Amino acid sequence: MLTTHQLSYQYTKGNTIAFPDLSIVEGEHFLILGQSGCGKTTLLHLLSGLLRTQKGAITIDGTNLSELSSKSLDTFRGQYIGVIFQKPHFVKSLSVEEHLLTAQYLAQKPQDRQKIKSLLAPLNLLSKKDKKISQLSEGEKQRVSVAMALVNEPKLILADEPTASLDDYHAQEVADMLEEYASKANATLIIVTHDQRLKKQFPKYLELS
Amino acid sequence: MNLFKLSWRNLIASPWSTTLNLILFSFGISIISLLLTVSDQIKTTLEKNQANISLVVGAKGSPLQLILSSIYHIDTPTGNIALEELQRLEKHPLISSVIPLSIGDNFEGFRIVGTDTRYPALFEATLRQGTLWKSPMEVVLGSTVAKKLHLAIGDEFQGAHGTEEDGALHEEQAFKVVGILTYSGTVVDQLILTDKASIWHLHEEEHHTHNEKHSHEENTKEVTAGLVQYKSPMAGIMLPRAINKNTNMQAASPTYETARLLELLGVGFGAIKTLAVIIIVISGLSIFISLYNSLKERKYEIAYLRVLGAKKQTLFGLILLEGIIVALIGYILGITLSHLGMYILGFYLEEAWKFNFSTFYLMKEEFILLGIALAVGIGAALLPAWQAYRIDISTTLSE
Repeated sequence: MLTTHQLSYQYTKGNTIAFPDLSIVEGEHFLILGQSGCGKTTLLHLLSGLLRTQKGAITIDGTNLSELSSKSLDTFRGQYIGVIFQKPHFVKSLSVEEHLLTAQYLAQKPQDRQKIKSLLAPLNLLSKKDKKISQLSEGEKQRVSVAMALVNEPKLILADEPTASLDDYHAQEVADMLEEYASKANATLIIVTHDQRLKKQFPKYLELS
Repeated sequence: MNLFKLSWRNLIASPWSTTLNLILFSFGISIISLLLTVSDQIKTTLEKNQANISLVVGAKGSPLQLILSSIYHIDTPTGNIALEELQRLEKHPLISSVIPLSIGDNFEGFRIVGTDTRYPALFEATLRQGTLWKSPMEVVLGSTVAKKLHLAIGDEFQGAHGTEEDGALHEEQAFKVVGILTYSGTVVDQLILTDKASIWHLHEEEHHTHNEKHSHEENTKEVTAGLVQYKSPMAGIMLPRAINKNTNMQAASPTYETARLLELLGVGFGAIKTLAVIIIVISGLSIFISLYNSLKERKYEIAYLRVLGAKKQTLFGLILLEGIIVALIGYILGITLSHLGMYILGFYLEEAWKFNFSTFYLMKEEFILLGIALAVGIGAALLPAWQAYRIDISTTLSE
């Protein structure tokens, strides 16, 4: 489903980082572990097409990312990849439901309020759908970012440090939630983190050095 | 969700700065639109009321005052001239007609003009009801006068001395309405017309009763001004100078004097217009600054929209649209404001300029103004939009 081949990235400062080849099958849950500064955020940005590939190749579901134009890469990301960030960013002027409608609009998918409702209900967010993000608790924000990553039924979910700042209990909760929703959506899940606690839950991992 | 809605949501998310931008923008637009409409209306009024009058003769004094008083009926007359002199002038081979005017009385603020029956014909004003006057003290009303004062044929009223309201009444003699003119859109609508003999009639009576002394002979008939029509345009070259040199009267050219008046007004209009342009530029700057500032805050939002699949071009359009929306709403508010202001101003201007102002039409210039407004909106949003286009999502998200 996702493979990388001789991927490397050169920073503007000059130092180059080379990544081991990855080969992840469809529906797999995979962990990329590494200390800060080892380039794992760079890898996540490369995999999600937020950074253009410089050297090597990334193939997702048969599509080589470096062969896409900038415009098609944006659309591809919107339609195939859901990204969850450690500290979620939202659009201050939009409500929860409007966020999800915006995600559907930007990925050029039909805007389906019914589908949004059925997504929000199990995440305990249905009653918050008309609230602005600033009115939500931290846990609710985290769940909205999960909903945002799932709304367009992506084939690939990338999560960046989803548990880093959480205590054991909440880290477990988030990990369970990610695993559950990825399985339900039949999506491939890649978690990029330095959080060694997650190794217990996700036996397949790669450690970057 | 669509791009417009996204832009709109962003605008109303910061209501104070959006309101300030709208106020500034619409203010600038409304001043310019008001100026355009007012100057256009004044110009048409001035031109329309000139009818086919080539020259005005009257007592010596300010030529502009003579034109204003005898053509537009706004200023006070310069003085009196002998009717005999006008009659002599009318015999001149280059002149086709001289219509005498006697101004100096009013009724409820509407001027009573003593003249002859050629005067309403000058403005192509026809009778709606009744007949023209046949003897002194019979009057024909302009349509606005009849409407505002609720006068009908057969009604009688007493004129007052002076061209403004509150003059002393001519109590002994009453005017009788014999006719009402159709609406012509000219100054005649606001006048009460009668035979020039009516005015002599009134004032002679007055002299007897009030025992005033006069400086001139009783049998010398006087009028206020004469409206001259040429037989050939050649007359314009020599006649005014000859009249000014050889008679006790002065000759004033309506075209020349109104051009001078418009030029004087133009200086004032120009100053206000410059002010309005400055306001619009400032409002454009204000739109720019608020977009630019909000962009610092919205950098993460914009990067996030890119993660969700938005193209660079989409974000460029999103920010540009915010500038366009403010400009468009500002324009609509401004135009509405100016026409509403014009409507209110119209009541005052009708009195002052003796003309009915029409307010509910858009001028060609106002469509040009729409283009300018959009250009300012786009111009103000261009740099912020370019910044949004160039935002490096990877760096922004790793911050």
